[in-house]
Amino acid sequence: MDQLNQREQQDFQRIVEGKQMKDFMRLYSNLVERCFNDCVNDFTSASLTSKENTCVLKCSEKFLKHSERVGQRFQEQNALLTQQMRR
Amino acid sequence: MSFLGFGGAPAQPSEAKIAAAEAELDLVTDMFNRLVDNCHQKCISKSYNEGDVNKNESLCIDRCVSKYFEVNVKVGENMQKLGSSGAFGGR
Amino acid sequence: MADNKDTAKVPEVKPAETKVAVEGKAVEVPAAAANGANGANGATAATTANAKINPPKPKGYTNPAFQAMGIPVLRLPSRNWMIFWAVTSGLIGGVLYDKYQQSQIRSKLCERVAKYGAKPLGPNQLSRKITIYIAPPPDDYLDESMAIFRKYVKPILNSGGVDFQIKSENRQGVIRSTVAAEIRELRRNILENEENLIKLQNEQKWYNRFKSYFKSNKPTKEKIEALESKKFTDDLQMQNVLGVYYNNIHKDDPIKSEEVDIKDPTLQGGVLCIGRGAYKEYLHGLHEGLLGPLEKPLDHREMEDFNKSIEPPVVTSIENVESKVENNVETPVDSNTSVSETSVSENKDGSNEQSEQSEKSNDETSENKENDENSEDKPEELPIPKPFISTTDYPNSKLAPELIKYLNFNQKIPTNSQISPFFQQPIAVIPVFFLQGFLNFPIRLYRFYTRRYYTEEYGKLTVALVENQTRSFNKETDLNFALDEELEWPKKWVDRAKERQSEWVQELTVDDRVLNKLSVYDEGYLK
Repeated sequence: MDQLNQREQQDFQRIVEGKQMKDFMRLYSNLVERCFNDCVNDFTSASLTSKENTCVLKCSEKFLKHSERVGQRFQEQNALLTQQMRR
Repeated sequence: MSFLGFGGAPAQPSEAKIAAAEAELDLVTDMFNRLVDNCHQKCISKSYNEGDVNKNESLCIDRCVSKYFEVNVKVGENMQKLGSSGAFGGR
Repeated sequence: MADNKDTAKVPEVKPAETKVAVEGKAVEVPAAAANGANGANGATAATTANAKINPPKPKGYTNPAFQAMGIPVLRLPSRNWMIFWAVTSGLIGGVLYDKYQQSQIRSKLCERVAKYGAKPLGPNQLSRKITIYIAPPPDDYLDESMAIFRKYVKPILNSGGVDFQIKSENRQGVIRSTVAAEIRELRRNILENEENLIKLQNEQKWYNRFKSYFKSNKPTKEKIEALESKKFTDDLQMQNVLGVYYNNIHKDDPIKSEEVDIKDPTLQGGVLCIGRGAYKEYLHGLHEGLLGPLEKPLDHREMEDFNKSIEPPVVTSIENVESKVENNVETPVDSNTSVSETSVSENKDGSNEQSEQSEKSNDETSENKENDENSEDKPEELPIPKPFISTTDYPNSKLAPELIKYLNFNQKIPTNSQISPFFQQPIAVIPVFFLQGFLNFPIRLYRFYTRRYYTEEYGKLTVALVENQTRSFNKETDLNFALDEELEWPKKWVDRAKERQSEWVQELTVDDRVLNKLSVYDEGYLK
């Protein structure tokens, strides 16, 4: 990453942005599947019950906060790791 | 490369460099996604009582990430050892 | 007649009857044979008559209900077996009762603190972190103290959602030197920041700006490119890469501790010392850091230059070689099993000798790491820096000038983590009782059977720590925390340590200026 010059950096920047969006989409579908698996288990009616509604809300909120926290720790640990590698 | 510290790459044509950087980026995001899945499985209860992550779960997540990285490093070292000693099926 | 009596008692059963009848006869015959020699016919007649009137009771207990259910005649085992089972079940029962009570107490205390652990925590917040200083009992390994921590303290901390970092030692003086070094670094940072501030203010003045305008030197093209590429890699943080931060308003929130908003330093963080040695070293380290100089004193530096000129890096002097040999003999080493921030387990006794040797000015832990990477076998024993100020000099020295204005006016001391520094945080001490010796066996046995009292005592102290119940330091009583542990230290070890003038056997010398700022966790409200 250190050897990329100006033009390469611009190309790479575009790639990174595209990847971030893709990752976001992946996260979204993963979240939907997870909340469905955990919360919705009763198929006696075609629409969600209120209990399932609240469960899905909480599930998605919790998962996003969890992801953010993991992201923070991941960054810290990564930085530590690269520092150790460079030593 | 800077992300996971896999040593410096020698001078290469630009497409190859970009491809290498992209591959590394993929590796990093893949690792992150696995980390999120595993730590969610191990740390957060499935009965969603509230929308916030509480303190115990947060501490659990912090420690989970730290241990995951340690495991990553150790497995990497072990694999290098096994690869160099030829006990890994002659790869 | 004998038969009638039996039928009155046991109307139905014939086997008993016949047994008794048989026994009656059996008793009769040998009695007759025995008494035949004596020739006392009256006696035989009497015994046989007795046997017929009072037949020997059947062994065991039974009643019609039991007989109807088919339960056999219940018999107690013999006297010897009874003694055996009584003793064994007494011993095992004692252990099991103690373990059961321990788990009850532990779960009760954990439930009390569980509500703190259930509070929410944002993704950018770090939970409260306490520092734990652990010292091993004298002449023994660190595992003993770690076991005490794991059994009595850790469950409650985990239940209460309190994070901790452990700083342990294997030799005397490590805790003191690290505490003092951290305080010195804090003081140096504050000093540096003030100097930078003054510099910046000076530069803003018009005459300096005028000067710097004429002195500009433009960087070369390569430098610019290098800087830009570095900036690129620095900017390529996770926030720009990971999907979870795409269009996320929390993308750039700073990470800070949950305690950032609390003004009172006695409600932030906390310090727990496990072991009398750890407590003594912590207090001495505080004094050394707050009352001592920032730089190494001159006489230390002279000694160091003197030693450097004589000794090459490879050890040649006799004392060093001897202690090295001793280390090689006495250390049961496995450096791979160390938990983060705990060092290798060794015999404390053997390593004391080397700690009295030449001193170096480098930070010990970073050099240890380097040595770990360099040498394949055991890591080298680095000497511990001597205190920058001796305990007798406390009254003569000044309280840290950099910190005085913060301490006197109750202002927050600026640290990297934005919470108050650890020397303002309250202290808790847990003793490590570890009696040794053959004659102490009864006391040790008693303690083994009454560990539930320890669970309760140490658990309550930890609950007070989690709930932040503090009081200010009381000079008469609080210097004697864990004094009982010190009184039990093995005499021979203490005598040897006194000869070598090791740290743990020195008197706890304190200064009021430092003690005024300290506070202590108090579990009195729980009783």
